Amino acid sequence: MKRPRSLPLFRSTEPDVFLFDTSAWLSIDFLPNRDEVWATVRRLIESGRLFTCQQVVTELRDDPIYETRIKPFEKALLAGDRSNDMEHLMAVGRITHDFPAMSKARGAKTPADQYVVALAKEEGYVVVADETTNKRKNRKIPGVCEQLKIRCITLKEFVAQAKREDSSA
Amino acid sequence: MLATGNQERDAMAEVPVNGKVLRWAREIRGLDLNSAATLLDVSPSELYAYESGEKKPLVGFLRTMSAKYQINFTSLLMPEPLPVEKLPTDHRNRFGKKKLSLDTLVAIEEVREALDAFKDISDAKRSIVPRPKLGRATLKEDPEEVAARERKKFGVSLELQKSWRTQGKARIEWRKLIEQRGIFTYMIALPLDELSGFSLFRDGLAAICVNDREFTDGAKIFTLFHEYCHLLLRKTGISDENNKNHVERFCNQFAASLLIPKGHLANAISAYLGDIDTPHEFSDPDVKHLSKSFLVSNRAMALRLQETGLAPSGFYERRTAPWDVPSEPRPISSTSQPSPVRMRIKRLGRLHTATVLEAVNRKAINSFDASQLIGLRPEIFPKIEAALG
Repeated sequence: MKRPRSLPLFRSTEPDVFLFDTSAWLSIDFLPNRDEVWATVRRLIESGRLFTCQQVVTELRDDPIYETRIKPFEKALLAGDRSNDMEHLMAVGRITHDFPAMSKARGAKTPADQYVVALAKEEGYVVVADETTNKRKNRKIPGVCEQLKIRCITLKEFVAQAKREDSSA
Repeated sequence: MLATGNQERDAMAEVPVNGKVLRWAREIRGLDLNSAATLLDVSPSELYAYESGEKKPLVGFLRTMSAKYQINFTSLLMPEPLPVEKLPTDHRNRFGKKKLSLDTLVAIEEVREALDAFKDISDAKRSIVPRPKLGRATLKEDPEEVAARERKKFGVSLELQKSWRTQGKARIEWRKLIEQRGIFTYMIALPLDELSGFSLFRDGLAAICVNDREFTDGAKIFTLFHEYCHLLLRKTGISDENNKNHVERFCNQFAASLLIPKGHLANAISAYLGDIDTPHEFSDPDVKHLSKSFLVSNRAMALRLQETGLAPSGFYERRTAPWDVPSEPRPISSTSQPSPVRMRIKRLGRLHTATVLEAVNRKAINSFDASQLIGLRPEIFPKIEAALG
């Protein structure tokens, strides 16, 4: 189901739905308040406000956080995934074409980045990516999101937003 | 493992791909229609039908294509092909300009991607990635003089060179010295009758790749310096160390001169053969004895003997022609296989590996990106750090 986009004059009142990239998952354990952040992540997964895509899960399979943090919630986390949807796959192909440097289009491996960007664009998700913004805008998720007008925030910004939402609830 | 219902459905779905993209993917991997069809286990006419748009492939077939062509799966889904990126200059001539194979094209792409990743790291934290400390040379100079100048910069005396004792140890030490100048070096097994190595300059970063299928460490050392000379000349590209191309000849002369300084060679000949009239027709055992004392390849020694006038004109071609006959690689017994960590360090070089580890330690990249750049899982990183010393 697609989320309604915000109209120019009226901001959507629906709460943000977050789409976590591999870099965001891997950065959580480096935060001083990591237990608190994992609890927030868990709460948002359970309330259907935090997703990831299949390719990100695949990238995380070799990391210790997969067994403890991802696997128990895999079904809920992938509820928003559209990897088997042909329309979505073709959208991923378009992102690969338009941003070959980020997608490593001539390389042998298939990164998750283009799947993340395509899904966020189609569904109106907010991307959480803990990548340094590169001078070369086409090489990393934040630069590509900026060009496609997709909201992309860092993990710290995600934590701050979650805290704000908690305090205003 | 059995496929799930979703996976089966996924594999059976037809994909409205652009046939031109499939053709682009095949062509950038250097495959003709017949060899690609063989690789994919379909008939050439079936593959042509996909590429011409007559027939639409299933997702499962595209995944096989991605794996066999060693190309990103999502690239096959692009609406249009990308422009073909220019290949490095081809300096080859020894076996003719043989079409570059899939393995070589993937290796070039791998090294390019590594340099792009290092540029990204450098943009984030400049101090992590060393900049190349390279002089310059021109084809108008005497390669002997350029080699003497560069050898001085490396600070390697003949005593130190001899102290390495084996060609294997010499290869490791010379490689370290080149990497200390901020040049990434790779050793990748590539078809032996295709190239000896290649060099690249990209966004201010420099890399050398040596064909790890070369038979001896001496030959690999020669290629390292041959490619180093390409970097000095700022004439990078794909090499086969032939003597017909003027750039290749210059780089050959440079490498041989750097590894075998003229005065030291004359002394070694006197000690071994006594007083001889030159030019002298050195026998194969003579060449082999001399190459052993400098820990270099026989080819490098034959070239050096000719270029210094100690052997007659045409000596190099005469001596090396029989050595050019390709032979089967020696089998490696399972007991002599080095550890995966050592194999990765050999392939990627110490500079590449150490730079990636420093980048992950300083949080310029995450552990997943690092594992992609090293080709080993994050939990192996402490072992890699230990192996690097």
